[in-house]
Amino acid sequence: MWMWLRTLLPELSHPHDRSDADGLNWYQVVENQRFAVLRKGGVINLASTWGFALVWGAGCVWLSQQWGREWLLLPATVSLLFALGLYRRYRLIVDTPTSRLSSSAQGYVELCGKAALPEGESFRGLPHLPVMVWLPGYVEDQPFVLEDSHGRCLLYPQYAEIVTRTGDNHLFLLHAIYPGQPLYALGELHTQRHDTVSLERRERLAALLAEWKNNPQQLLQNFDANGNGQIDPDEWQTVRAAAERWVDDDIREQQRAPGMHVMDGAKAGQLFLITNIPPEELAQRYHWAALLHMLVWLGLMGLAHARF
Amino acid sequence: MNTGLIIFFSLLGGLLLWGILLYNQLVLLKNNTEKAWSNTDVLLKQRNTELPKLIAVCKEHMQYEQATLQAVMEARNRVVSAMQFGNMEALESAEQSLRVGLGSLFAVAEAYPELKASESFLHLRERISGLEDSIADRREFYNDAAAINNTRIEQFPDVMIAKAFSFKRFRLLSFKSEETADVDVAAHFTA
Repeated sequence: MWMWLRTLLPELSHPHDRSDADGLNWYQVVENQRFAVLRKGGVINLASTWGFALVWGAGCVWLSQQWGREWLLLPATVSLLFALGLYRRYRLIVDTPTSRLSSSAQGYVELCGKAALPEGESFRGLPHLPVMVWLPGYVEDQPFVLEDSHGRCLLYPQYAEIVTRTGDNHLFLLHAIYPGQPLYALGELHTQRHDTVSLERRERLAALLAEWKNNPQQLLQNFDANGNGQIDPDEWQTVRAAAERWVDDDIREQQRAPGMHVMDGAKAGQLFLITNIPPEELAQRYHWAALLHMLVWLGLMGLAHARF
Repeated sequence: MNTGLIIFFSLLGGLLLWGILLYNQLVLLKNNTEKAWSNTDVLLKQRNTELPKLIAVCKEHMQYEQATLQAVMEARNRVVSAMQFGNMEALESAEQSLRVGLGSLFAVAEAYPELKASESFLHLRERISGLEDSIADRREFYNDAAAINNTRIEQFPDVMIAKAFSFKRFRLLSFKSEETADVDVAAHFTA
């Protein structure tokens, strides 16, 4: 039984046993993750967990007994701030329309899809563990991909609030995002296209003709039809027509080529959120936690004022 | 300081912060909806830019279909005009006429094999088709954003802030069922 549990929950075993056959020090991995999960998820997200609610309640009882009930005003105020932060997150998830990557509406949007590694990358994470796209404490700032049925978007997680849940596979206590997992992102979406697309056709034509003129030998070889060693006005018309065709083809190709969708932040005051928790579930969690903290705020103020 | 006084100010502060949060959220919703509209607008403009090119290519081969071509161009001009004046009602009507006009154009184009083989025409057909798909997507996105905004400004307690600061409803781009189908340009040229 113990061996079976150890297979399922290697993180729970004694730290000294951990540098075992899989080559990983599980104790160290979990230790490294603990702070990283809090740092990337943020305190507000932590305040929406049941564990936090228990600690918060116990802390309030201790504070009241040790320092007096008036001091409950302090956690009451913090609970109010938690309530506002959580309610804001709840509303942002519920009130932001979903953009499809086929048309990729730009601006502050939400995206729903699946996690994937960027093209050309086949492994990310720690040896002896499944492939991951994001692993707090180890692989935090490298971009990864959100893909839906119509396209792919590169997410830069450096400035994101990343909320993960555990228990999606046998590594119960490991916080990570795995390829193929449902992924939700809320942030500023923009599409990067090749710089030259923004150039006008006329400018591109002028640039191409200038480039050809810089190579007179090649120009004569291609367009000096009568072989007199110079480009006559008639031949110049042919050069110009060829350049126009070239530019038009190029523009056409670039119009066909999809741009690269990127989400790398949010404007000041907005939330950049990435999570592998279904958005409805996360929104409900934030909603109830906000209500709970609101009640705690009012309750603690009442207790602080009560005379009994 | 008296505990009761602290609690009074705390309650007042809490309400004020709550009000500020709600106000900021309504501003965000308004900006999101405006941005969603500009997302649609930019594609409509791109399509409107491509349409004269399509008509020019068609004119080379369709000398006897001037009325059809003119109908498309007139509808297109009505779309441009409605967009300039921000008249959503006129835009919906013009978009409907444009779709009907394009449908007719592609139907009669069937009779012109040279046109169907033209590379420029093929490119424009593909481009307009792609733009129409994206317009449909973004129109839906705009409607989502507008519906969220409209719901929020009617809900309590947001309605108090919305009325105090004159937050406005956004008109949904509603099309009848036969209009919701994209212009399937490719289908018109399938033998």
